[in-house]
Amino acid sequence: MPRTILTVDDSVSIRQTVRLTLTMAGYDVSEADSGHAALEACDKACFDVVVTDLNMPGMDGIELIRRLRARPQFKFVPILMLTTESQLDRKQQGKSAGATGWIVKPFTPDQLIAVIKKVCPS
Amino acid sequence: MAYTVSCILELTRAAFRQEAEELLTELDSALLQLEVAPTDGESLNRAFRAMHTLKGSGATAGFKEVSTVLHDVEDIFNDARSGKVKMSSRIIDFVLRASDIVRRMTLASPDDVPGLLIEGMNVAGELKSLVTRNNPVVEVNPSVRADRTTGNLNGQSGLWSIRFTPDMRVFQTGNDPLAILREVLSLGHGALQANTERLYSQKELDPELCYLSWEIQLATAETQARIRDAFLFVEDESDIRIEPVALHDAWVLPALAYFESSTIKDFLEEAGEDVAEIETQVLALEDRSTDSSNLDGLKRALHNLKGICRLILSDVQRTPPPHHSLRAMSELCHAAESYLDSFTCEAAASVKEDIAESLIETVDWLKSLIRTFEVARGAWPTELLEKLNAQTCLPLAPAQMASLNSRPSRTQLVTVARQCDQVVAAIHADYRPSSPPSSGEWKMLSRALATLEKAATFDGNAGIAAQVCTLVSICEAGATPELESPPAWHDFSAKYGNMSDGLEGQSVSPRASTRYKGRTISLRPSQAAAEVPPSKQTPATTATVPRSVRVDQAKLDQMMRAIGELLVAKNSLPVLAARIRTASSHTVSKEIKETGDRIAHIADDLQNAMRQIRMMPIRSVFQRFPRMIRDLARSENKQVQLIISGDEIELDKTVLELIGDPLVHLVRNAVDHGIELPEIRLALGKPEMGTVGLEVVKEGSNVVIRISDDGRGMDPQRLRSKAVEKGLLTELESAALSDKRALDLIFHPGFSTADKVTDVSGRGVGMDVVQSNVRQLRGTVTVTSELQCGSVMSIKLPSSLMVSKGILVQCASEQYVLPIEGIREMVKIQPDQIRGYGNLAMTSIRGAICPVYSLATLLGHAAPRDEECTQAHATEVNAAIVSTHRGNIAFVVDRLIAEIDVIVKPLSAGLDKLQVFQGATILGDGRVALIIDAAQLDTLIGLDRQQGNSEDTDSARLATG
Repeated sequence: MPRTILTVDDSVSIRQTVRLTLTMAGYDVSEADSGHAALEACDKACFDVVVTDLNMPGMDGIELIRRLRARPQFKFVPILMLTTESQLDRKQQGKSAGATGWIVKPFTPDQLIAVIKKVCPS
Repeated sequence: MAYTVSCILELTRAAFRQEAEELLTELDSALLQLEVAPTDGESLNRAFRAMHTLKGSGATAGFKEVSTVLHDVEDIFNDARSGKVKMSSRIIDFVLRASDIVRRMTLASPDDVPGLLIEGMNVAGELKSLVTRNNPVVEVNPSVRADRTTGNLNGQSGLWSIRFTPDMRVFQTGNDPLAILREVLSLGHGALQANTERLYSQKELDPELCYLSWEIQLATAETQARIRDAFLFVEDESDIRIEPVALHDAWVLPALAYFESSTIKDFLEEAGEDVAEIETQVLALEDRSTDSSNLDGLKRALHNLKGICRLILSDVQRTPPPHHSLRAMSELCHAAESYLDSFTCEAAASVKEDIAESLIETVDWLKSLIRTFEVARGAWPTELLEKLNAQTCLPLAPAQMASLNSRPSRTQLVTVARQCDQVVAAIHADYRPSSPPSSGEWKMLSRALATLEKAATFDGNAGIAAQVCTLVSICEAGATPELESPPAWHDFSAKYGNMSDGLEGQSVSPRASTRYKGRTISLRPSQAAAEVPPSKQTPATTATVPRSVRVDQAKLDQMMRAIGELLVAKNSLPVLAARIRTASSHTVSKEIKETGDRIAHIADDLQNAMRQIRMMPIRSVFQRFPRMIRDLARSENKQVQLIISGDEIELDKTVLELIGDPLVHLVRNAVDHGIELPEIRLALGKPEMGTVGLEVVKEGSNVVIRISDDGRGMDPQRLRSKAVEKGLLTELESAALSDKRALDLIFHPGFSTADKVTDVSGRGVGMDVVQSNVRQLRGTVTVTSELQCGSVMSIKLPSSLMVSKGILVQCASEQYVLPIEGIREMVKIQPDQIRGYGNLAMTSIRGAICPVYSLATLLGHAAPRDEECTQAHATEVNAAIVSTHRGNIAFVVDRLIAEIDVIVKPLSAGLDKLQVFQGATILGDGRVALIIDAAQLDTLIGLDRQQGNSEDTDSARLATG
């Protein structure tokens, strides 16, 4: 059974990149365009990895991570955040909120797959 | 494990003490070099490496204090290597102090260690503040730092210890230590140990926390940065230590096996090929006119070898055994390369003989280094390196000097003494009575001598140590500026000279060859062998390297496929067994036959594949001949060219191994006794340069090697008279021999031991040995020769030894196998064609007279001798015609059974004296049949001969017609 991944981002293009890349790598990818949408999706299903942007309108990525970690079924699920080089302090915040790791934007498909494999070996 | 831990630890500590002493001496020596040349990168590297190794091994051996003291010092050296810190005398002062403290630590009792640690920390602290004062702090970005570490040799050390202690809450960020560990292990070969200490120290366990920590020992070609990358997401919260491990500290067996098996063996194989290539190129250089492609080829080969040496060196940076040879080889290649670089093509042409001499010496050294690869501290090619460097017309570069010094310690005394020499010489050169040495110079000298003293003490050379000690005190006096009357330089230099002479007296003088030095500072007997200069080593010292074959993947695949098919075919056997009960025997028999055919087919495939794997081009054996011919020709003032053809033809590996010596013998004979001196050749109207040919051709399943020369050839008449003189033949017998058969006399064992065969024919030295070796391979040697025109020796060999064809025959009650190679033909002889001559039976085969013997009788099966030629052959008989030294002989057998494939199994010890049998084989029905060595059958007739001497002469005459 393929591993399931949820990608959360308000930018369609980023979501699409993530989806296409990871689908190609054999993962089953779902999308959510906001923190709230992500939480809803997580009510219905559990995922093997969550990849979330940090800056999103409404609920931001940090808050999403914090809320997901509070749920028992997401306690140990790898959650990766998409950051940019300039957001080093955000990265720290994300980690204290419970993020597993990070992917620095911009990233190549290979880099993305490598990071996913790191936290979720197939 | 508990019962050995303390014991292992104690051993480790002892080993470390020894290692530390060596490393510290190395460190001191590098520091002294640095003092003279503060920017010398190689010395910096050496100092850094020594320190780094001390730190790593110290921590492993339980000397944590050592690594604590050295930690900051090492950092400073690391910065120095990247040019961030400039080396100065003051820094070196501190580092030498730190080195002394470390030395004391390794020898101190446990109680004294804390005091030393404080002292060491103080020194390190002072050093650090000194450096920070002089060099404003540059903020070092951690990632840059990591890159810097991986940029150097040490950073690439192939064996790593990775200690990973994650934050206990690691799970709560969704990180999985197991995934991380797996990623690390996937980088190479490694093993994992978990540390459960944190687990058991807890009163209550929280299932969501991680109490474990791990150590991985990993052998990998990856960089430290790549290993660290696995820990990317947990780096900040976890304690991660990645350090190189010395092989002897490694508990990780798979990793050890990785190094010992594949890397090193492959290296040895490849290096051997490279050296052979270099040799070929050198010889080509000498023989033909020098062109640039030739020089380039040589340089390429040298460069290649240097490259692989360095690669392995960086891989097993701190493994003592290969270290020595690898370094020596890489230095030699480097020196030879620079030496060649210093010539233009034209210049090289004018001195090509010199070049060839030097390079051939290099090749000899390289070979001996490969041979003694596992010797940890063997000879060092000091003289050759110096020679090459001197001929490069450039002064010994500091880097090369330094690498000379960095050879494994124990020879350090000499190295250090040499350095002292340099310092003294430098000061002496500047010395004027009006300007005595400055206090700085005295200080430098005192430091150099102090190191020499340490080295001498370490070496157990108390006399020298004491002398050096007095010298040091003189220097220290000189180094004190306040002193009213500084010591006189000439006083010092006189004493120094005395001390130097003392060293020389003990043959450890810095000027004496270090190659022989091991005699005084010998470690173990195996060294003695390594110290014999290569040219004097006997050819008997063959490599102890395990033999391996490189196999083309496709060939293996082919084999694997065949084995797969075999397994499937095997499945049908139980089915057949079951069917026998139900089906008619006729159909089952047919099915069995089909299955048998299928299996036979697969077996053929397998055999072919296997044979393919064992085949190697004969070139590997021929490679030594150009060199040998060159040396031989030189020593005998002859001019010889060697022409090789067909050396790409493949032969079984075993054959190749066994054929080497006989070939050497024959080729040597060709030059030695065949080719005449140039004057004689000219007088005879032959070209001045003689030609020796090595030709390989395939003839069916056989391979024929022809060794030809255009020399003086052999004189059958002289061979005949020699044979009579030796009492091997009577006058009559010898007169009866045809010229061709007379030549065969050289294979006679008695003949070969003749005192000076040269004046007879030039041939025959050990020819019987050649023949018996070739016969072992089931081959034959034949000789043809024409007086004044040359000789040709032909060796005919089966291309594979594994399986051969033979004819199964019945003799009396037994079955024997006659190998097909030994049989000229099988004939049916009508009884009326056999004539009796006294005791002998003769027949005529196509007009040639041929004696007839009953194989059964010869082999001792009861058959009345007198009936043999009369009654026994009342009907048509089968006979095998075999060529022997006596010509063709017909051996009558009772029945021909079949032509079969046989695998020759050697006879067990005791039975192997029976020359007439070359082995045994297992027949289809499980019986064992002896395999007859047809060429040896005449020895049985020989036995006959002694019993009946009178007919003997007749037989010889008749037989040879």
